[in-house]
Amino acid sequence: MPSAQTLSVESTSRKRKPPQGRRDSVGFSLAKGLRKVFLDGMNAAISDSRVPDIQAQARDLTKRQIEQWFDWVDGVLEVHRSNFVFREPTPAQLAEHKTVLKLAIRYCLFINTLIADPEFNEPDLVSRLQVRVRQLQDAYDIFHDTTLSDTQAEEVLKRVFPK
Amino acid sequence: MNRELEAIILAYEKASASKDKEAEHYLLAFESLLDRVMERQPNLSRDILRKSVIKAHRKWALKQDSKPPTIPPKA
Repeated sequence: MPSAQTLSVESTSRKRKPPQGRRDSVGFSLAKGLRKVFLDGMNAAISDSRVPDIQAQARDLTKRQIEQWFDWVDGVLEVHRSNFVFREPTPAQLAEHKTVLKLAIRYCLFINTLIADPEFNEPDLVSRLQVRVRQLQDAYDIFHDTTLSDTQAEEVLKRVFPK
Repeated sequence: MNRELEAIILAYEKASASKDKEAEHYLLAFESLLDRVMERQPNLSRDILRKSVIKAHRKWALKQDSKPPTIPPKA
């Protein structure tokens, strides 16, 4: 466990309280007497003629979780900018930077697989995710991409932008 | 510093300082400035140019007197 925790950020929109009267802690319970299903804060009466719209509930839940993920990524990018771009980090902080950025990018790609599915049909979420992937990749590359040294970059810029 | 390079660095700074839809808007503006450079540098790798400019942005950031506040570790 890294000690610096420089990149530990906390989303501001998390930790919703479960509705009162809930007896379970995992978001799912079945009260047979009332014939009601509780699914993470949403409930739907079950009768012979009506079933809960599980697909809509799953979509809503996924969208909420992705918004939380966006908050977390934005926090990571803010720490990157404040503590690494505008200041010189220590080697330990840089090591943690690498770990967190790799993880964030990998998870974003998992999420992209989910929401880029045509059946999910949320192009706005896909677009907002892709911006963040671009920003995370840039943040990673500045310090950890070995294909271009600082000297090489300076030479390129001198050639392309002569004084 | 070359004025065109400075303009591109400042365009990246706007993208870096913003989030979500606003970041998307500024990133597009930054990318279009790179495209303009590429039109007269057909033998240059766009990826190399992009990474070089972002490294230059960091050098610029380190020299700034006004910096965003450090974000402390989580308690």
